Amino acid sequence: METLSGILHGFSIAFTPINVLYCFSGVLIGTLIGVLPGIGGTATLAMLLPLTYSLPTTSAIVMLAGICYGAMYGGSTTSILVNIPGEAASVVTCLDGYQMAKQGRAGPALSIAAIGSFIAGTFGVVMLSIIVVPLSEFALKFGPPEYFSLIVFSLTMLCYLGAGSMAKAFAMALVGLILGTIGSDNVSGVVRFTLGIPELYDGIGFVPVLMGLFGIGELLINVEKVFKREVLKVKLRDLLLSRQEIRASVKPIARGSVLGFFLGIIPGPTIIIASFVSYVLEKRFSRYPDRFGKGAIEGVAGPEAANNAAAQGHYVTLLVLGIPGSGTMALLLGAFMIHGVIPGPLLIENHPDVFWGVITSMYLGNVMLLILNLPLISIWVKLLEVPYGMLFPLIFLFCFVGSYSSALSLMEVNIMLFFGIIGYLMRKTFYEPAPLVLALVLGPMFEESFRLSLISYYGDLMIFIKRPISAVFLAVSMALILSSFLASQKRRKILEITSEEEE
Amino acid sequence: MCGFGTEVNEVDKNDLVTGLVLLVFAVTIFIGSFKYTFGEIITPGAGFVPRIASMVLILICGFIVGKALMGKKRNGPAHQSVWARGKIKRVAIAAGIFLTFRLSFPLLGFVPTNFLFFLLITRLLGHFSWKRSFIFSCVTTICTYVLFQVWLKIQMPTSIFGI
Repeated sequence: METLSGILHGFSIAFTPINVLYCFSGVLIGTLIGVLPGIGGTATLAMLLPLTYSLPTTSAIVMLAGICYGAMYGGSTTSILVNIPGEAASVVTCLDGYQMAKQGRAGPALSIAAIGSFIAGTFGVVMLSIIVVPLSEFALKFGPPEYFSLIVFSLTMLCYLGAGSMAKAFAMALVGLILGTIGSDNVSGVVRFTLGIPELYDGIGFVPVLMGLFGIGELLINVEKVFKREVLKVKLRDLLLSRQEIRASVKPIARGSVLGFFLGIIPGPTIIIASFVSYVLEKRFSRYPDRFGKGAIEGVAGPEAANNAAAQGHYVTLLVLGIPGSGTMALLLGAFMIHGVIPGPLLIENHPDVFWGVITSMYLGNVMLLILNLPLISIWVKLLEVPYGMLFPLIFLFCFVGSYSSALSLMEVNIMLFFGIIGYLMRKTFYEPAPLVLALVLGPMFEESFRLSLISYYGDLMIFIKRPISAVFLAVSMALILSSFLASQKRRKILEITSEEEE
Repeated sequence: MCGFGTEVNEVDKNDLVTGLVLLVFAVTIFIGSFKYTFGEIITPGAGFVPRIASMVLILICGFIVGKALMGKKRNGPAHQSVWARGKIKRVAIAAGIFLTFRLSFPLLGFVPTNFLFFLLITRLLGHFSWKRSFIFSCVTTICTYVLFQVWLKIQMPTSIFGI
């Protein structure tokens, strides 16, 4: 009953003209960002975050959330028409989507991507609406030890699921934690590691760091290559699906939606993982697995549904626990904090307008995205023809102004440029930026909850194990570390045996 | 992915250098943390988390450096160098232009800096003609001026021309 009354209240907020406008703006910008390769959703959020300072909290979050899930929709367009993923999560769509386009079936590929995304996105929002209230009540039992252990689990999961070495990911997480200690200590008020620079007394702002790592870093990586694109043409009348194509897509969309949502709840790059797992699953379930990679519609329907459902699942930990599961969610957390709203179990109680307004705006946003992604497809195709040489300086300018305007200080710009170069070097040397960013954002909460736990429980380190929820998080974290270590040992032994056999 | 001979060494060199850089960072933080009170287990001080975190980071960096120094040969296809000269040149040009923008910004103001920036980027990296670069720079400078300074009213440094 509480959920139903909350949703109805949320609709009354989401459907105000101003919030409808911001929702539309967000999904439009998100689709645009998703369509254009070379610009990530996280970098876009970082760029646009300062522009939302003057907006009401609900409107700001509605718009920023719209950008997040809008980018998921838009990413499939460029994957299908250009064979370049617009978003990391749309990599899998390239495999069969582009093949379909080459066979003259770009229309059905785009249609099923949009329809699958809509169904999965709506499913995700419905599940989010159902889960949040009971989960919030459960999260009220969390104290400092549970929050500390949850952050340890989130960072461990992020490092475990990352593409590269777990040791490197952990190193980045520790760097982020250390950077999070710069400035005034929350517990004792002591100023740390500021090197006498007054602008650092409040700490290193995560906005310039994010813009640097994800915005400038990505720009510098992209500038290495001369960008050439061949865009396949598509007409509106070609978008219609045949009965056979609809029948073939129903189960993949259903499976992708469920799989994606529950994977999305887990912290980490689970949106990308959901799309890959869905692809593998559909290939396994298919009666004709050989068709995959050659234009199988199931290879588009399932992964697109999975990544959109996972994008909704990510909101669960952010809204209910106040823990972001990715760099994008970390930015949203920042947006909440800038507006004086702290996500977590008390969010429903303290700010029901924000909570239910944001969730119900996603219903509306999904409908808007379906309309934007099908009838307006020719406009998105035209945008793909804009040379990257024109977009590149605009992206930099937005990052620059975004950093500068956050405090009207060039120190923020200096931080952004510094981390931009760091972000580039990290990508070249296979260090992932996401653990650093997450640890930077969660670092103060991590330290505070750890120290408060010890103060409250008289220095008893065993409290993290004595409390059952905390113990479970820590046990899973240890299991992940052990599993990664054993897997790397096994890989090394296999490689040694193979090398010996070759010699 | 690693190959034989130079490919294996290249991957390990990256890890060796980055591991050492991180090690220097970690040791610096570890030493710096002694300026702040470590406290006791009952009342951890401001230096507690930085010292523990930097100690763990030192251990992990030691592992990364050690693994890089061991550098075993592995089967696998050879891969291209990630530090190809042509690519680095373009990145260096871009980084140089970014830095120039940052340094010019408080001196020349937003509008002139913006115009020069768009002109240089589209010409040097986008390889557009001078005419196309000039037109694009004029249009985007005007649009961004209207967006940031007129509509959003963001206070930017002004040049000697008052814009």
